[in-house]
Amino acid sequence: MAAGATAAVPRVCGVFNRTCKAVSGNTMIRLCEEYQMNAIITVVGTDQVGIIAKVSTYLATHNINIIDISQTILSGNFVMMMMVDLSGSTISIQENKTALETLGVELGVSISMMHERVFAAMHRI
Amino acid sequence: MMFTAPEIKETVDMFMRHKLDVRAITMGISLRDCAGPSGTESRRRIRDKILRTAGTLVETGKAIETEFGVPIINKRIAVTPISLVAESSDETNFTPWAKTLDEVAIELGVDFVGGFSALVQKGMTSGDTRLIESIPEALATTQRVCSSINLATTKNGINMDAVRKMGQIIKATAQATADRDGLGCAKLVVFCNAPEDNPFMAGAFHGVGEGESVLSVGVSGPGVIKAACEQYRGAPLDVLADGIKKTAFKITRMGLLVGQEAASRLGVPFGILDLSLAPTPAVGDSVARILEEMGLESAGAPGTTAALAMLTDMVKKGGVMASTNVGGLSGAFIPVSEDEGMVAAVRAGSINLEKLEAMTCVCSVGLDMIAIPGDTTADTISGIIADELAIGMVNNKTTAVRLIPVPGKKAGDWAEFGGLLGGAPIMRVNTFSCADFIARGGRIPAPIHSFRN
Repeated sequence: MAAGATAAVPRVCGVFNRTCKAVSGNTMIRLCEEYQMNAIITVVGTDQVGIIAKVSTYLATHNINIIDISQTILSGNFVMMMMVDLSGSTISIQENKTALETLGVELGVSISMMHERVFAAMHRI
Repeated sequence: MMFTAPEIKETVDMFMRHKLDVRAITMGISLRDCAGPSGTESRRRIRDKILRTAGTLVETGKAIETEFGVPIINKRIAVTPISLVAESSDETNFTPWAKTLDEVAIELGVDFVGGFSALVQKGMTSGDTRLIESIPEALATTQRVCSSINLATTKNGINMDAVRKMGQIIKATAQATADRDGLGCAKLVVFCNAPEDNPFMAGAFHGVGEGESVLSVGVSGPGVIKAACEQYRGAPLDVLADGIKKTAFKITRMGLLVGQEAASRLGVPFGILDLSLAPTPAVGDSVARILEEMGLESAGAPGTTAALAMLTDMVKKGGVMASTNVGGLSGAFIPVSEDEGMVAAVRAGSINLEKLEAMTCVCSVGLDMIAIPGDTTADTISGIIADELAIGMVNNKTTAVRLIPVPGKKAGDWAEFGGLLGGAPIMRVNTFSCADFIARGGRIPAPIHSFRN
């Protein structure tokens, strides 16, 4: 929504950029169709050694590719975001969600996974 | 990253902390082609058609929920008003139709099915009369069937004969479910200007102007709007209004995504998106608490109607900017039993039935889920209904009444309905009589400003 507020952060990169070029009529709906298997994993909690290592090890075990990753501190909370490609995943989305939640409990952080299209719908017009 | 950290955090918080959800995906199904002289044959056709059309509704809803990470609380079906379908049969009691709908809903795992309905704003046909007479038994012997009756429109005025009848039917329905605090009445609503494409219960039905089948979506999110309001503490109201509008825009876009995806997977046209702040009894999912966040000590305090007017309007404005399919009721619901903050306001004595009636002039529905003493007369209930419908008729808006006269209980007692319906303290009702007014019957003519031809 607030394009001005986010201008400082590089938003167009990697796969997104390539997809933009691949799509002739660049409406949001058509862009979204290119992203059917992408999800965003969010980890919120207290910063500690090895969070990224543990989450990425889990993803690698199940053949889930990390497309993009970033982390920051928001309102005092450690927030890590990963965009992942689930198309090669060896287990179902539901199994993934359950496993990530369990991993979150072990690490004492909150881990959620949502479809990329939900974020696109809310924040890009 | 194609999204910024604050954007991602905002969306995740909406679902994880502020209980944002898609309240319902509702499939509307026309049953007009199921009518026939034999009730048994007609019900067989209804069963076949619903199973054929909505066979994968629940499964599809669950798949989208998992893939998108968006909770879809209810999967529902709305059908053509049964009075129109059952009318051609020679049966006098329409309860078997309600039972058929109930059985199909249970078989499919659908949470509610709406459409045990009749549209009688100007007069009643034989089918309408038989349906209305069947309501108490139909709602007492089924679990998932909801009933709605349209008693008035701005174009036609108020059918006061039907209003009188519905006062008696509401009493009888409460009596038929007396062992469950009159639960049957929680599944029965009367309307002025009923929308034909509303996905929310108890008022959902598949309007006669709709197509063969359609998928609509109801999005809620009082918690998210309250969280948005918290960011504007002390700010001028127009600034707050803008914040509400932006959030309403975002949650509408999310609902649109889910609705269009569900419609496409089910192979039916996408109908409407209804963005209604529909509270649940859970803490953090209350419309009353939004009003309080705006600066009121307790819902019902002076200023409540103004705050609610702004809230409803901003939700609508955010919604219509986000989707051209916004329809149904869209706005804010102010039920009592389903809203933890409203229940607290009743207990604190800051809100009463008269204030709620004033608030319905600016909310999106009406007097909703209000428990009243069991000894309230049918005439008084009809009087309350007439008042509420008059507000809708004159103001060109939808208004509705869902009252539960709880058998054997009096003002101040607690009534419990369970689940999403919640529980509520029984509210005091003005007991001065309106019996002679109601006994007149006839109709209240349409207001002058309805003549726009």
